[in-house]
Amino acid sequence: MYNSKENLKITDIYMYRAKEILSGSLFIAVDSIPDEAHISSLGELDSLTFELIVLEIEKNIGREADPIALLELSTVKDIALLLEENA
Amino acid sequence: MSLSSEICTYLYEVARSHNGKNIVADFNGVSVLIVQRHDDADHILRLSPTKYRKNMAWFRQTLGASRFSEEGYAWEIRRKLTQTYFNKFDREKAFTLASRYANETISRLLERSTSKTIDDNILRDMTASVLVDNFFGIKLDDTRIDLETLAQLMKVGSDYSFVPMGKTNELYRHRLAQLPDLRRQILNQLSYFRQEGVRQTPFLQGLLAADQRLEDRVVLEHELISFLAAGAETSAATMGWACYLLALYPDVQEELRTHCLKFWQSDQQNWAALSSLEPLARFISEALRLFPPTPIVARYALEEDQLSDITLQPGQNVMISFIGIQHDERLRADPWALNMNGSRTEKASGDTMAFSIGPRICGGKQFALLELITFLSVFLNRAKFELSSNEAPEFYWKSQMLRAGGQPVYVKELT
Repeated sequence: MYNSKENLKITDIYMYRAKEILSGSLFIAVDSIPDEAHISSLGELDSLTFELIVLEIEKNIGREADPIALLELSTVKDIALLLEENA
Repeated sequence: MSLSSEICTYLYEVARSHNGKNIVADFNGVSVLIVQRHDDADHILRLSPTKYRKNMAWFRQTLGASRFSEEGYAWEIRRKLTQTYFNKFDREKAFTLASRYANETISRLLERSTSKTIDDNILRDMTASVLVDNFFGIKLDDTRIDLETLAQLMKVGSDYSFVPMGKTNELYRHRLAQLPDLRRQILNQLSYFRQEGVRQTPFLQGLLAADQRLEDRVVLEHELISFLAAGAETSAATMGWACYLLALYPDVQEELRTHCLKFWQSDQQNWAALSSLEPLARFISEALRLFPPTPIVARYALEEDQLSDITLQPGQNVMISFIGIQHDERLRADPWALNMNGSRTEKASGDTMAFSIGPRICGGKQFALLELITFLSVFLNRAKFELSSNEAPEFYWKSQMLRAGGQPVYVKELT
């Protein structure tokens, strides 16, 4: 459970950011997203949702993301890792 | 300017240029049949609804899945969650709440009596307050809901509503980029309803329980947004148009005020008595006819179908224009003018058409009519309405039809 960003370790911060991205893209509460979740299990992954995830990731890392890496995203952790690697 | 911002103006133009006729239009490369005939709308929406599916993908994608956007089982379970409360609400309690918030609202409007326009936000605050108080037993001010955030979300959704699948361009991409932040803000605000200690009416209990049943994919916040969008925003828009019509027709305003003064001076200040004042109901019906707050509903043909003047093929996009249908010159002598003579339940009136028809009729119709008539009675009892401009309306679509820049109406103390 993530109650405040201040208490998070560095990895957890990227997990939280990944959940925030999915929260805004899938329109679900951060608290409803488990650490181990597959993105497709959280809601319908249509073209708009995928586009929003990409826009949010690119806003977070401040540049365009590698398209291959984007296509390989399937879990919350994948997004967190992508954010951490591009920090 | 985008098609979504111009759609209402376009529909009024088509209602004049092709009155009483259906036409096929091209929206960003997509063929759309605009239905302006009541008989064809009746066929599509009421008699043959299974031949069409609701085409509200944009609404669903931007505001979330809700009873407003879903079909089949997903719609049925959401409808069951809320419709009982919309059907069986306490009329007198709703009347009392609508009266109270209307009195507070008219006081706020009178404080800015030199303003040339009516602030849509004040009307929105009134309608949302009644809705939240009536169905949740909670004061809107006690929640964290910022109606402006919801309005912005609906604006972004409306901008997106005419983008064909797979044809997003940079403009829309830029607008879409605003969505996640707005959604996070809304989710944060609406998390109030998940807090322990918040009063749980049976209505909220049902929504929370459904939210916990993961298999149905009912999301509390999506239902709340749909509830506020459909229940508060449209009523606020209607009251804006009603104030404009009162100012545009001062004789009608005076006649209606006579009824309202008498009602509010009587010892029968209740819904049972107010609902018997036919002129007020007729006026609201006319406001809904002339300026339907939800001017369109969209459908998608699932199979071949025959309308009065065209054979539809599967895959055809259909837009039912309430503007076109309610301004059909075959149905009334001068559909462009306010007409207080006649029945509010006549064919293609605001009462009978503007809430849609058939199985997908607006679930909150009776509640909306009650609060609109009550608001009107309080407004007329306390204030007079004068035009600040004679300009023809410039329309603005934000999931409901608004007037660009606000309604040009002074709200003044009665002397």
